[in-house]
Amino acid sequence: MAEVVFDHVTRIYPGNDEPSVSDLSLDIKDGEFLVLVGPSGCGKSTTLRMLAGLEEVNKGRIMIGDRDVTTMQPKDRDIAMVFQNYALYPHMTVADNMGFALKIAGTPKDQIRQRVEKAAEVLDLTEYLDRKPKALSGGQRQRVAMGRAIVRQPKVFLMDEPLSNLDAKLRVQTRTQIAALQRQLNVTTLYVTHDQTEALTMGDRIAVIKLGVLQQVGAPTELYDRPENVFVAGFIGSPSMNINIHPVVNGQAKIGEDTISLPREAVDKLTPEDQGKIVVGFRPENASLASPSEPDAFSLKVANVEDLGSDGYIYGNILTDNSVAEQATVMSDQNKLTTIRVNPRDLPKVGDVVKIHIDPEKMHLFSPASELRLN
Amino acid sequence: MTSVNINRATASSLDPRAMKATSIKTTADPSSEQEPAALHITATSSNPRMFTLPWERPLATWPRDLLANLPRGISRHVVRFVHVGDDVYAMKEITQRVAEREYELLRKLQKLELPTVNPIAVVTGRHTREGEPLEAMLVTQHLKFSLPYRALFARNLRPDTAERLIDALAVLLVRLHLAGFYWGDVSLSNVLFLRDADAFSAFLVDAETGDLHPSLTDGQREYDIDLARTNIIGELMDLDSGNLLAGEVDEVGVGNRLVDRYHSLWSALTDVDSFDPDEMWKIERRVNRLNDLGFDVDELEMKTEEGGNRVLVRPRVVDAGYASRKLLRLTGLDVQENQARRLLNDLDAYRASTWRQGEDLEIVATDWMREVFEPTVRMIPPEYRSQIEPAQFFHEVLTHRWLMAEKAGHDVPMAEAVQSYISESLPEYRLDSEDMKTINEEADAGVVDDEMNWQGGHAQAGQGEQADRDRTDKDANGHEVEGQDAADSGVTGQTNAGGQNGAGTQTDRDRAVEEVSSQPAFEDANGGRSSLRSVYAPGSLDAAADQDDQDDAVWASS
Repeated sequence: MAEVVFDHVTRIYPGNDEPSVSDLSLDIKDGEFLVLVGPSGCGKSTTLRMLAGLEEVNKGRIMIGDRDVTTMQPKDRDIAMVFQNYALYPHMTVADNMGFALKIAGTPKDQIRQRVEKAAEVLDLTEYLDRKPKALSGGQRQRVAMGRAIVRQPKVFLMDEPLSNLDAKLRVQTRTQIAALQRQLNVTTLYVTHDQTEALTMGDRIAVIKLGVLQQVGAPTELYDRPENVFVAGFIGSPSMNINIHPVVNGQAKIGEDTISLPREAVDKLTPEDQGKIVVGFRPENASLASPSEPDAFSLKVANVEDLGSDGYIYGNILTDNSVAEQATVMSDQNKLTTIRVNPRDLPKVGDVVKIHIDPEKMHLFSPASELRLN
Repeated sequence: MTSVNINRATASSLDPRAMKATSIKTTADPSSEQEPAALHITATSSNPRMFTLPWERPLATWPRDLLANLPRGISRHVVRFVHVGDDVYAMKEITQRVAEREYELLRKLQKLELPTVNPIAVVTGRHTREGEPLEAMLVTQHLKFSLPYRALFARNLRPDTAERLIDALAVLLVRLHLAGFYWGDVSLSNVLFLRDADAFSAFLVDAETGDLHPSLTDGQREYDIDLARTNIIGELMDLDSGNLLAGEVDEVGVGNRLVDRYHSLWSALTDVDSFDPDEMWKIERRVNRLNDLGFDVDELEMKTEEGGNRVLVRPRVVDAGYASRKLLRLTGLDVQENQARRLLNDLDAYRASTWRQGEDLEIVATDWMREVFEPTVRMIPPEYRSQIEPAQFFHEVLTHRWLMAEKAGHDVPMAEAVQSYISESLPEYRLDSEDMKTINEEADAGVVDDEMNWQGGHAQAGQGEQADRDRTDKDANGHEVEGQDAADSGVTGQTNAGGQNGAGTQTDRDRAVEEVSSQPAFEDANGGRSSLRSVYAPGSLDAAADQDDQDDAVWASS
């Protein structure tokens, strides 16, 4: 086991001007499960492949433990790429399927057996060790494949979208297993995914990356509760955060004809580049229905409602001067509608105009110019 | 002399042919892909029967009459061969993203004229009649006459089979790497082998983990090589576990061979020799080096640097072993080079004597097999069948006939020559083979268990039982184990299926003989280890392909 350090690492593909990964500095602590998440083309897989030794590093260095592996060949790095479509060998027992790579490496027999038994224990495969793969279920076979990586006892596990070629049922099951397994084994792990749900549910910490630039690193709750910029705010969480730009008038955000109080220290941080506006974000669960006369609330025209039994969701358009605000939404995945979670017993009707109050403690404020957090 | 790497130096963007390969463009972000609500087929083929297939059913439950019984390799996914009109397509059930990605990649590789299976279609938006979504399907053309390595090992006793497969794989890997393809999952399982003029040619069949780059880093190449080594050794160890590997094969050695062959070949192919115009003798040195690697030089690409002061030379190579590969392609007979030459000469003589020079050699070869070769080798007395390789027998009969004809002053009919050879010359084998047996038993002392299991009655019986169990499991267990079933059952399947065309009757008898024989193999005249089964099985496979629909019990694919 070992700590992994990306030290000001840059990767520029031949023929490209822009780096695919730019000046990345990131520590993965010993035994930590770090999830690297971001949208398509953000550089997350490139980052993983640099650690694997598959991509050259143009600037900076990568350390595994106290070894500088920047220019080292993949096989010398003591890493394991998990789920590289391991085939199961029909004539070999489960134990041999898991341990044959050790045999190739010349590991003594008793040690192989010991490691295989340990891996089988964490994978819940002990009773199948002497069986052939065909006696196993699909899920068990998947675990045998994991076992092949585990028995090597590498310093680092690398997983690049490992669930993407599994069908939906096996995906959820395997997701839980990987997370549990990593915690049992305590092997430093870099896991790459585009799926923020995977990131939130699996990672000890999450690193969000966009266009080759690291945006924020932190525990899932940190990223959820205190996103450092607009991108992270919009990317993490499902349904995603409501994020809108509003004029600031007398220290308050003007939303249509309504105003919302803003904390003084946030407003003070605004600069002339922000042109008198502020980005206000709030999660669907951090707002509530308000009475018509209540201050610090804005009007929302209900476009759709959902009753999920335990929760109700209102989807609507913010009213500006009695007309629908056209360009208020910066980022939201609900077809640019503002989403509010409410008690399903209180759901309004489609077409109603309701007042919405945002929990001031849970409001996320950003500079429109820098997109950085203000509060 | 300086060496530069042409590929790395010049390639900075993807080949335009690859860029325009297909309308399917997958992104790295699966969330941006919507599974279509209705069936959606993107196809390179206009075969209208594609639409009549039961897409609403899981592939594993497709009706048996649609399926072609051909040997399949190990796969993590459900794979079937399906008759679609006159074509046979390989269908693989995978997630939409993977299917589209692989289709796109295979299209690109095809445009780059690389040896891969030909992608036919990607089918998405599949639903059951009840509306339950089904996984997408990748459809590729079945590579005719190709075989997964397991089928080859089930039927080849030439001890260098593994090595020849590895050599083919090394060539494939180098070619793919030169084109900028990072495979990510190199293994024998992800390759099909084709018997053609180049002996075994390897074709990529699984590109799930691959990526096409303008050029590869050393790390990507080294990772592929290292993974290939591990996988190959694992695959051979598995064959060994199933007693399908001749005892003398060194799995790790074979795995290492890939690494060596790859590096030699990569260097031979990519190193550009640069020298003065008056140092042209260096070309010869380069060619000699390629010959040492087992390759013939097909072309030399020469150009001068600007100013004309230096000559740059890059060779293009083809595999060596022309005769055995040609016979292999024509007849499926897998024999030594000298035997092959002899058989090809006889084939040519047959063609001339039957006035069929204008016909396809493949067709003439089929008739020659049926009318000349098989009737001859079928006459090998049972007690010799475990002792003389049919090709060797045939070769010796030809020699014997020639001597008889010379003595008589006229042609001697084949049947007569065979009888004469059997009574006059063959008995010599008895002594020889006894001696050989002793020598072999001593030599094989260290690996006798493997050898006995492979050749002896236990192995044969064991394989049969295995196939029986597979069939039972398949019935009880559905599609999950079928990929392995095919591989397993192929072992016995080819032998049994051969019974359909006459050669199999022979093979069955051979097997019966082998079961009671304690003689595992013998050294033939050329010093190579040989066996009867190596001759008959390839033809049997072709028969199996033809007979496939009537032969479900043998191929057990559904």
